Amino acid sequence: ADVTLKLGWTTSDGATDPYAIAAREFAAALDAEMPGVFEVKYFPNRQLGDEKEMIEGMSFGTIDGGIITNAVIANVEPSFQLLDMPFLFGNEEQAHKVLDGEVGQELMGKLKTRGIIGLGFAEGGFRHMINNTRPVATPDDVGGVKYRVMQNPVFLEMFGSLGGNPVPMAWGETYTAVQQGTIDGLEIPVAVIQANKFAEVTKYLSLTRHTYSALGVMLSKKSFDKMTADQQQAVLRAAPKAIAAQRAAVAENTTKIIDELKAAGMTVNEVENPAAFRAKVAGVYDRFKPRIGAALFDKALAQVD
Amino acid sequence: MSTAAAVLLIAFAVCLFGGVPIVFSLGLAAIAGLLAADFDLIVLAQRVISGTQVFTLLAIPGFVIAGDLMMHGGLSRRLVRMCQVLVQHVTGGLGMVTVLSATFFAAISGSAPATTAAIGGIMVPEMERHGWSRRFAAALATASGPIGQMIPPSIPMVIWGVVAEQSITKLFLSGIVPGLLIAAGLMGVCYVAARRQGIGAATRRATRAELWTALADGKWALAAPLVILGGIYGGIFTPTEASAVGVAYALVIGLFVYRELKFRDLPAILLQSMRTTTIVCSIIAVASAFGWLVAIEQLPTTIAEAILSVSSNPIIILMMLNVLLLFIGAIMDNVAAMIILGGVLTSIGASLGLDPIHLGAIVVINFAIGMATPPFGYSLFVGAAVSKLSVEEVSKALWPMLLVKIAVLALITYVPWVVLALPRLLG
Amino acid sequence: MQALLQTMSRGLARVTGWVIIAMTTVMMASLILQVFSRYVIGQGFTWTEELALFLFTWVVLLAATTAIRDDGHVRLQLVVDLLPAALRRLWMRVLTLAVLAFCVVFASSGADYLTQTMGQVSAAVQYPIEALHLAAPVTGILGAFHALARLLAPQSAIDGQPQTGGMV
Ligand code: NA
Ligand code: NA
Repeated sequence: ADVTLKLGWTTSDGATDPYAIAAREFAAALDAEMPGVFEVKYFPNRQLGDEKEMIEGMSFGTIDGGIITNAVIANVEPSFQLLDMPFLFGNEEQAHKVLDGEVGQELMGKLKTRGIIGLGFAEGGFRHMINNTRPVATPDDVGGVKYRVMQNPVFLEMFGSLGGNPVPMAWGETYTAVQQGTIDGLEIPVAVIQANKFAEVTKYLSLTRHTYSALGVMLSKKSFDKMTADQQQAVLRAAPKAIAAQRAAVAENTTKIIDELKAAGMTVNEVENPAAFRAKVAGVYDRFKPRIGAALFDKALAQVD
Repeated sequence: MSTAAAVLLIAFAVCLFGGVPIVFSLGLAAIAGLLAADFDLIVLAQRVISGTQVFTLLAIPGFVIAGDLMMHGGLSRRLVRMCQVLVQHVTGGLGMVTVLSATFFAAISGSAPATTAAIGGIMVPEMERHGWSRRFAAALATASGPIGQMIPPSIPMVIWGVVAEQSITKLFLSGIVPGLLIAAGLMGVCYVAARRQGIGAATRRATRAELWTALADGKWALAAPLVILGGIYGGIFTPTEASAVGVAYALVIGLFVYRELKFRDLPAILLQSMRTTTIVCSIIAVASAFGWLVAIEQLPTTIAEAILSVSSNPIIILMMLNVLLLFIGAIMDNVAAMIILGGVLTSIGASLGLDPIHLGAIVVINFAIGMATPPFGYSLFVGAAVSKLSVEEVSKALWPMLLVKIAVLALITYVPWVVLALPRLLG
Repeated sequence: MQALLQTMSRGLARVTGWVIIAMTTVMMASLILQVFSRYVIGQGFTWTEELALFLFTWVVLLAATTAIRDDGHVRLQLVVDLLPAALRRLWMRVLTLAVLAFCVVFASSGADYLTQTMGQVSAAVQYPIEALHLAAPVTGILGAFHALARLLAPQSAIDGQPQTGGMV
C-alpha cells in the first residue's frame, strides 16, 4: 500500500459498534476508490489514547485519523456544542440533513486551523436513558433519579433542567456504580448499552432520544497533505459513501439491539410526547447560544423545524 | 518487529538493568522509540499528562493516606492487637492476619497496589515488631496485593469485560475462588516460615477477658473497613471515593477519638504519603508514553502471533499463553496490555475452544500475579516503598509466594471448573 | 556557585513540599465533598472530580521532582552493586546524567505541548487546559534543576543521602 492510515477510536472492534463500523466502511470505501493504494490500520479500545489525545495527535501529525465523539470535539471548538443540544433533532433524517448540509460543513471547516480535516459525521445513534427507578415517559419521571452523565456542561445543564440529579462520573466506575446502586442510571446509545452488558444491571430503557450522537470522521491535515492530489480526491469521495453505508448499518443494528435488550430482560418504552421535554430544556438553548454562535444556531434550528 | 519497537525494548532493558530509576528507564526508552519511529517528541508530555488524568488512580493516594493516618492515629495498632489476640496461639498467625486483611480489603479495592499500600503500611511494621523479618513482611504484603484484583470489585475485570465483550458480573464471580485459593496458599507459606524461624511459637491462647478488652479498645478501628465496605456495597460511594472516605474516617478517629494524631503532624504525614504515591503513579504516568509506542508498533500482536505459530497442542499453547502473559505482566502495565492484546487473545481463546469467561479469568489473574513479580510490578514497588526496602530485597523473600500463585494459575488454566463453577451457579 | 546551586535546590524542594501538602489536602477534600454533595445536597457537584484529577496530575509530577533530589525513585540495584566502589560512584553520576537528560527532553516536550494545545478547555468545568498542561514544562524544569544540582554536588553531599528506594 502507498498510504498507511493509523485510525483510532475508543470503543471496541465489535461487529455492531458504530465507531468500528465507521472505520471499516471508510477502509472499504477507500479501497473501492483506489484499489490497493490505502492500508487502514485499526486501533480500537483507546489504544492511541482517549479522544482528547487523538484530536491533539491529529493536529500534531502523530496519528492519522480518528472517529471522535462530538462532545469531545466541542472542548477544542465550542461551536460543536450545537450538535449536543438536547432534543434538537427529532429523528435521524433531520440530523443527517443538518450534518451533511451547510451547518455541518461550517463546523468541520473550523477544525482546519487546528490541523484537522473533518470528513463528515457518522452516526452514534440517539442517546437514551436507562435506570433502575422507573421508566421515563414524561419529564417528571427524570426527577429525583441519579443519572451518571458525561463530564460535559451541556449534559449537566440538560439533566438539571429536567429536574434530575446529574452525577458526573468516570466511565470506568459507572458499571459497578449502577450495579451497587451508587447511581440509579445513565444515558447512552443502545449499542453502548449492549456492548457493556448494562442489561445485566439495569431494568428500564426509555427511548428518550434526548441527544443525537454525532461521530466526527477526522484526518490529520499533516497526513492528508502528504497524499497526492488523486489520493486526496479519493479520500474526499470515499468519506460520504462510507458514512452513508455506516448509517444504514447502524439503523439496522439499532432495531435488532433493542429487541435483544428486551430479550435480556430490560423493560423498554417509547416517549409519546417529546415536545414536553423540549419545552423544559429551552433555557439550555439560550445559555449555550452565544458560545456556539447565534447565526449558526438559528440556521440549524430553521432546518429542524 | 519494527526498528522502533526493537529500539524501545533494548533501551528499556539497558536503562533498567543499568540502574536508571524505573520511571526514567521507561521515559528514556520512550524517547528513544519516538526518535526511532520519527514521531514528534510532544507525545511524551501528552501521554505523561493523560496517564495521570485517570480518576480510578486517585484510589492510590487515597488508600496510602488512609493507611498512614491509621498508622499514626493508633487505629492500625489496635486493629492488629485485636487480630494478634485472636490468633496468637496459631503458628504464623500474624502473617495470616496480613493475608486475611488483604483478602478482606480486596473486597473494597479493585487495585493491587492500593491493597498492598493499605495492608503493607499497617502490617509490615507490626509484623516486624512481632519477630518477622521486614523482608518477609514486605514480600507478603506485595504478594497479597493482587488478591485485590481477583476478588470483586476488580478494575481489570471491568476492562476485560469491555474489551472482550463478556459479562462483567460473571467475570467478577470467576475471580473469587482463585483469589481465596491464593490467600489460603499464602497463609500456608506463613505457617511454614513461622515454623522454620520459630516465630510466635509457645504463646498461650488469649483469655476471654483479654479478647474483650482488645475488642473494646479497637472497635473504632474495626469499624473502618466496615464503613468502607458497607459504603461501597450499600451503594453510597464508589471504590475511589471510598478511599477518601477512609481518609476522613481515619482523620476523625485519630484526631478526636484516640487523640494520638496531632494537627501539627499532618503536613509531614501527607508529604510522606504523597512520596509513596508518586513512586508508583509517576511510573504509571510515564509507562503510558511507553505503552503508546508499544501499541502503535503493534508489538504484543507480533509476539503473540509468533507464539501461536510454534505449536497446535492446546495444553502447550495454554502454557505458552501463561508464560507470555506473565512476561508482559512483568514488564508493563496490565490495563494497557489487556487493551492492546484483547483482540489477539480472544482469537487464540476461540481457536482453542476456551469458554470466554475462563479465558478472561486466566488473563486477569495472570496480570494480577504480574503486579507482584519482579522486576516490574506496581504491588512490588509499593511493597518496597512502604517497607523502605529495595525491590531486590523484597524479591528475595517473594519466591515461595510466587510458587503458590503459579500453582493456582496452573490449576485454573487446566481445570476450568475452578473458575467457572460460581459464574455458572450464580451468573 | 556550587553552594548557591545546592541552596536553591533545597529551597525549591521545601516550597514544592508545601505546595504538595496544600494540593493533596484540597484533592482529598474535593473527593469527600463529591460523596457529601450527592447525599446531603442531593445533587453531585460538577467540578469535584475534575478538580481532584487536575490536582492529582500536578501533585504526582511535583512529588516526582523532589524524589529526584533525594534519589527516592525505585530502581534495580543488582548491576550497580556488582561494580567496585570507585566505579560505582562514577556510574551513579552517569545515571544522574540520564535523569537530567530525561527531564530536559520532558521540559521541552512539555513546552511544545503547552503551546500547541492552547485554547482547549476541560470537559466538565471548561477551565483553560493550559493550567493542566503547564505541569509538564514546570516539573520538567524543576526535575532538571534538581538533577543538575545532584550531578554537580560534591561526593560528600551525595554519600549522606539514601541510595536506593530511600523514602525520606
Ligand atoms: Na477487589
Ligand atoms: Na511484574
